[in-house]
Amino acid sequence: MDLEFDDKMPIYLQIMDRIKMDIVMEKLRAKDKLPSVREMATQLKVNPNTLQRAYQELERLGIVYTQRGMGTFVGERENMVDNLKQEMAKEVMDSFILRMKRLGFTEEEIIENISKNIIEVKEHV
Amino acid sequence: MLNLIKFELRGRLLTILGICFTVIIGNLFLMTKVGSWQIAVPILSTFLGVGALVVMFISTLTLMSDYLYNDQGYLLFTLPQSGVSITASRLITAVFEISIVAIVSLFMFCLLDQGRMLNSVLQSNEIYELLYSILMYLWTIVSVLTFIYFCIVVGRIALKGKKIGKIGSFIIFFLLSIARNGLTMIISNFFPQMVELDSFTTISFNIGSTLFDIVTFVILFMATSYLLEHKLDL
Amino acid sequence: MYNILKAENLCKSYFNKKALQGVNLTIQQGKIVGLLGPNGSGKTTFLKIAAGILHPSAGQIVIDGQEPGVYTKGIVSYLPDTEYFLKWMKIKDAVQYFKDFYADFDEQKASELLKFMKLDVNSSIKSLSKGMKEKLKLTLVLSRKAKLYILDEPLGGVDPTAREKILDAIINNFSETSSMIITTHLVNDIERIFDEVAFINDGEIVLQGNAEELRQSKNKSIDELYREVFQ
Repeated sequence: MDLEFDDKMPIYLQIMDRIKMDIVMEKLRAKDKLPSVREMATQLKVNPNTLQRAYQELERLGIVYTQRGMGTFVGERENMVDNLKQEMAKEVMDSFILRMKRLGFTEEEIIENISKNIIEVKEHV
Repeated sequence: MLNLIKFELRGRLLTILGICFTVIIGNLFLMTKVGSWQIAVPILSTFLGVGALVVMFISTLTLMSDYLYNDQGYLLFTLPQSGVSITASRLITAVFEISIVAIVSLFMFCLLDQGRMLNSVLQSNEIYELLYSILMYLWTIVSVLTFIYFCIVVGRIALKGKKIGKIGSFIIFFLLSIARNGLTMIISNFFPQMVELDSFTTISFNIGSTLFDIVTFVILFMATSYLLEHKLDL
Repeated sequence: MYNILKAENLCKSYFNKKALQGVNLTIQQGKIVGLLGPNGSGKTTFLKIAAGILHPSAGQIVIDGQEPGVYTKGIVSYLPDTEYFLKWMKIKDAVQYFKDFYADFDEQKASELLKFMKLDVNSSIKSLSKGMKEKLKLTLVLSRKAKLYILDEPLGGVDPTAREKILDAIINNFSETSSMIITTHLVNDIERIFDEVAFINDGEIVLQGNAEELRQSKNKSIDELYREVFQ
């Protein structure tokens, strides 16, 4: 994980997003152990309580689970990865669609634009 | 408290050695002049010794002042040590330092006059007078230092600013000394009774003023400790 | 949640100025609190009172249930903004000093931290650069297993690489049984470490709260909030 956080938003939410992303991208698989709160806090240079909160929230959402004395692990619920993927995709899409609408595009125009641009957009290595 | 003494003495090592070294070298030089300068030699040696003691004494006071006015105080006063512990350790360290210089000076003086003075003292068989002198020496240092420490601390707490604080301390010292001497005289006039140990020595002292001295010392010591622990603002 | 420090209506006045005017602040166990404000706002005054080297004019402050005194000095580890080392000391003398006077001093942790900060025990303190002295101060302060750490501008006057190390040491030092109060005006570098922040101006707390909640509700970083409050 890199250290780029947006300080305008709660950091624990951003950490949660990172972990979710890692799960979706399969960098983290079911039953993988997450770094300890202390390790991660030092790496990211954030307060351990913030990490703790992120882990707790993820646990509440059923994405990870904690075993006393052992650590926090990625959950193994069926379809968890797919569900997460869908959730995160929806967030991205909703935000995109909203912004395109604000720019004045109609729904057909938005779809047209996507078809045109989809081949060109690549991840910069 | 022992730790305070330990660390302070370690820090003062250079100063102590420096002063002792000066005394030793000075006296060694005087030894080479025994033939030519004659009577001047022991006199100069005495001056040297007294001078060294004065320098040491003032250096001790400067150290106390440094703790109160400079950044070193942050280290000392954040320690979990009571005011009594700090005041006592300062006094003990000071007595130690001054005594070392005194012993070295005396020793060099004896070397210089080939032990003649020492001999006559030992032969006069005034052993109690000797012990009494040593006791008086220790008592004087401790009570005078406590008195001055008290004035320095009060000046520091009551007045703002280094210069004003130090001048204030001096004025307080001046006024308190007058008051103290005045009271001592009044008391010894009212209570002229003396303790005379004339069955075996020539030592005698006034009961009233001695008691007054002791009480004053205790009060000033406790007051200094209290102020250091509860009222000092760095 | 246990309050390690509780200040109620704390006031400190001097002849010509009121440094603190009724400060209310609580610090819970296991929390890192940022006390933020410009020079002269009263933050150093507050910290010195908590450290026991300054006495309040009015109001109350208790640490672990006691007023500042010999007991609290034994459980509070204070990093002042001054250079307070005795000039004759070498680093190992300073370590010995802390070890002798503080029952909660952890010698092992001190050597690990010294190694981490790349400080040599045999160097004399006089020969250290400003950055190295700051690192040494912090090493000694964090090597105590104190209940409350009071750090006055731990990042002050130090180059960015040293700052990194200092932040690392602070985060690593975190424990659920101890708390920290840190003042700084370099809010940007350190804001992610705070659980809570309190903004102080002219001797009064003008804003306080949980850092994450403030980010969420104001949609600003703590640094931006700081600039806004202190214009």
